[in-house]
Amino acid sequence: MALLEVKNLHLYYRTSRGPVRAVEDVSWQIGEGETLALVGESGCGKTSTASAVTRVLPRNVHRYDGEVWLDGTNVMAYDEEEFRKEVRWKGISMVFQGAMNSLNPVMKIGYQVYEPLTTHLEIEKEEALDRAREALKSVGLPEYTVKRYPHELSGGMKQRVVIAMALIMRPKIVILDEPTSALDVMTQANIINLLKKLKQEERVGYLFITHDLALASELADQIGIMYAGKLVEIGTAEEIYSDPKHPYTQLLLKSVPLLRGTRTPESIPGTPPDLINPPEGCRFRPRCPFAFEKCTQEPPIKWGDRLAACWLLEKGGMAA
Amino acid sequence: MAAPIVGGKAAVREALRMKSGIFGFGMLLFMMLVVVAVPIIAPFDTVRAWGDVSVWTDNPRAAAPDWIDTFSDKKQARNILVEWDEFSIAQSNTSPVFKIAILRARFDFTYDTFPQELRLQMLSNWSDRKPLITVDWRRPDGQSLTIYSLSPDRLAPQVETLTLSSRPDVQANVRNWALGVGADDVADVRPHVSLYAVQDAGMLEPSRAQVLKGTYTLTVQAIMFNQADTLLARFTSYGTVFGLAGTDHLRRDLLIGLLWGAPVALAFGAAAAVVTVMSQVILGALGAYYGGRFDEFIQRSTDFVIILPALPILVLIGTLYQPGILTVLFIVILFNIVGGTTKVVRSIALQTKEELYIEAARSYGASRRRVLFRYIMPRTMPYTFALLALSVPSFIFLEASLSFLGLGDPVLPTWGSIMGDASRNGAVYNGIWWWIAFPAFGIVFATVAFAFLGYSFDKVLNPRLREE
Repeated sequence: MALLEVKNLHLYYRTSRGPVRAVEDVSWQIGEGETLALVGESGCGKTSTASAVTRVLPRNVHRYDGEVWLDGTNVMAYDEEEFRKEVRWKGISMVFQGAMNSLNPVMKIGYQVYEPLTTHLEIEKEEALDRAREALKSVGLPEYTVKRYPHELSGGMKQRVVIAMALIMRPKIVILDEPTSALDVMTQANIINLLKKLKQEERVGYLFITHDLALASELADQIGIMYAGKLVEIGTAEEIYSDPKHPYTQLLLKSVPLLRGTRTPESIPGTPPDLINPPEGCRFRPRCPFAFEKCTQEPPIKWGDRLAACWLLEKGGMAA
Repeated sequence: MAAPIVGGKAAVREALRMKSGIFGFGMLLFMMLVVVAVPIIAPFDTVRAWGDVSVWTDNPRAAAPDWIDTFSDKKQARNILVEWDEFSIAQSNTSPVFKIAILRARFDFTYDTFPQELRLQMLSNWSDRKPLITVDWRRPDGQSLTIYSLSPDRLAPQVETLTLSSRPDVQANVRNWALGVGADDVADVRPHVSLYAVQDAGMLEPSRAQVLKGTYTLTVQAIMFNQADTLLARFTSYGTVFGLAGTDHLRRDLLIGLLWGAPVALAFGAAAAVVTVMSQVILGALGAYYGGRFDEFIQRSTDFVIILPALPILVLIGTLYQPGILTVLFIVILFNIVGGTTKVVRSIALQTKEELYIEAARSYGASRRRVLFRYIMPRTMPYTFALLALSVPSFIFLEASLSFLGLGDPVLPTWGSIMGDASRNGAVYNGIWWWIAFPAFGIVFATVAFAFLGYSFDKVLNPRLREE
C-alpha cells in the first residue's frame, strides 16, 4: 500500500475573472522511501498541488476536493484542528520554495527549528533545543548554528536549516518545493546528496517539486509531468527519460541543454494556456506539433502499462 | 544588510551608545531614585493631608525657597519655632490664693529681614477662674515691653492661638512703646517688624526699619487661681523663606507636593502608555491578520475614536464626577484603546503576514495565535518600542493639563494641580515664581527624559535612521 496517495485532487482559485483551475484531477502515489518528482514549467500547478496536500490554502479557494490518503486514512476528511495536529509536520512536512524567506528573521535558528516540536508535543525547552542541535547536525551544520540569526547564514546553510526543520518531527513524507532553485550548482549538489543520504537512512518519502528535469533525475524514482494544472504523464524515472510517451514530455526533454554534445536545446513554441479559460480537450493541443481532431476531447491517462494523457497512444504511439 | 536589533537588552545596550540615550536613561534613573526616596522623605500620610489646611500652620505663607540667600548678601529670616517643651518654666506658689508661672523662651535672631508673622499658642487649664496672662518682649538692646495681657478663652486641650503680628491690642501696645522711645507715627503698625527693629525714628515703618540682631526673650507670665492650674506655650516667628521649594498660599511645603508629583506622573504616563500602545498594537495586528468584517470594525472604530474630542469630554467627565486619579487613568485608556498606532501596525502586519515564513509556520502547524504573537508582532517592535517611550510624555502632559484645570485627583498633589493652584491664586502677579517654576520643571524634565529615550530607541530600532 502506498504511503501517500492522492486521488482526483482539485484546487481552483477564485478571481474576479472567474475560477483559476490550478490543480485539476491529479492522482499519484508515493511509497515508503520513494521519491516522486513533479516537473513542469512555472505556473503549471506544482506548488498548488503541494498546498492542496498540506492544506495551506490562500483565502480565495473556489474548489478544493479529492482524496488524500496518508498511511491508510483519508486526511481530507479531517477538520482543520485535527489536520493541524495529526498531519502537519507529523505526517507531512514541507521545505518551502525560497528557503531564504521561509525563516523568521527575528528568531534564532535553534528556536525556529524546534518550533514544530513545541507546537505539537509537550516538551521541555532544553530537550527541544537538544533535538534541534541534533537535527542541525544531521544536515551537516555545526552546533553553534543554534544561536545564530537567519541573516548570519549563507543560502546553502539556510536551506539545510529548513531541511532540518522539515525532518525534526520524523515525518513520513517531506514535500520539497524547489529546494535548490536559488542556490549555486555546487551547493545544489551538496543539498541533493544530503537529501539522498536522508532518504536512505530515514526511509522518508519525498514529493520533489522542480522545474529542472536533470535535477529530478538525481533523486526521483517516479516522475510526474504537469502541464496547465493537469498531470500529463507519470512513470518511473527510467520510462520517462528513455521512453517518454507524451509529446510535452518529449519536448521538455529536448529543451534540456547538454553539457557536451552537438544537440542544441529546443524551445516549445507558444505559451502555457490561460487557466481560467483552458482549451477544450487536451490542454497542450494549441502548442502540440502532433495535434489532430480527436485532441479536442479529454484524453484518458491510462494506456496499458503506461500513464500518459494523449490520444496518440490510442494508435500505439507517436508518429515521430 | 545590517544586523537587526533583536530583544530588549540589545536595544537598550545600543541606545546607551547614543548621547540622547545616555541623557534619557540618566534622567529616568534620577526620577526612579526620587520615586524610591519619596516615601522615605515624605510618607504617604503627609501627602494625603495635602488638602488639610490645619496640618501646615507651622510654615510661613508663600515663602520662597531658602537657598535664594546664596544669590544675595541679605540673609533671609528663617522660621523660628519654640516648642511647648522648649519654654523654661518657673513657678512660685507662695500664696495660698494664687500661683505665678513664668514661661520663658530665648532665641537668637541674626537675619537681615524681618519675620513674616508672629504667633503665640497656649494650652491653659483652669478650674474656676481664668488665669491672667501677660506677655513681655525683651530685646537685645535691653528694651522690654508688655505686648499682651488678657485671659485665655480656650480650655486645654484646645489650643489658644494668638497671631501677635495682627492683633489690634498688640499693635496698640507696640505703637505706644515705640512712640515713647522716639519713633515717627504711622497708621498701620506691624509688630513683627517693629519688635525686631533698631530703635530709631523709622522703626514703625517697614521700609525704613532696620533689623536689630541678637538674643530675644519672650516671657509669658500667668497668675493662676488654683494650685492645679497649668499653662504651656509655643511660639513661632515665621520666616520669609522655607525649605528647598518654598511654600504656597496655604503654607504647604511645595517640596512634598513636587516629590510626590514624580511617582504620580511616571506611574500615570507609563501605565497609560503601556496599556494603550499594547492594545493598539494587538488590535491592529489582529485586524490585519483576520481581516474581513473584524478588520473593518476595528478600522472604523479607530476612525471614530480619532475624531472624538477627548479633552473636552474628559473635562466634562471631570466636572461632573470629580474622579480620582485611577478613574482618570481608566478613562484616558478607554479613549486610546484604538488610535493611530492601530492603523500603522495594521499596515505593517498586512505586509508581514504575506511573507513566506508565515506560510511555513502555518504549514508546520503553528496555531493562529502563535503566528500572530511570535511571527507578526515582533516585526512591529521597531515602531512600537520607540512609540512606547514617546507616548509616555504625552500622557504625562494630558494628566498635567487635566489637573491644571482642576479635574485631576482631588487628594493627591500633582505637578499639574500645583500649577493650577498657582495660576488660580495669582502666583504670577505676586511674583511667587517657585510655585510655578518647579512643577513646570518637573513636567519638562519627565517629558524630555522620555523623549530622549524614544528618539534613541527610534534610531536603534529603525535602521533607516541609524547613523553608521
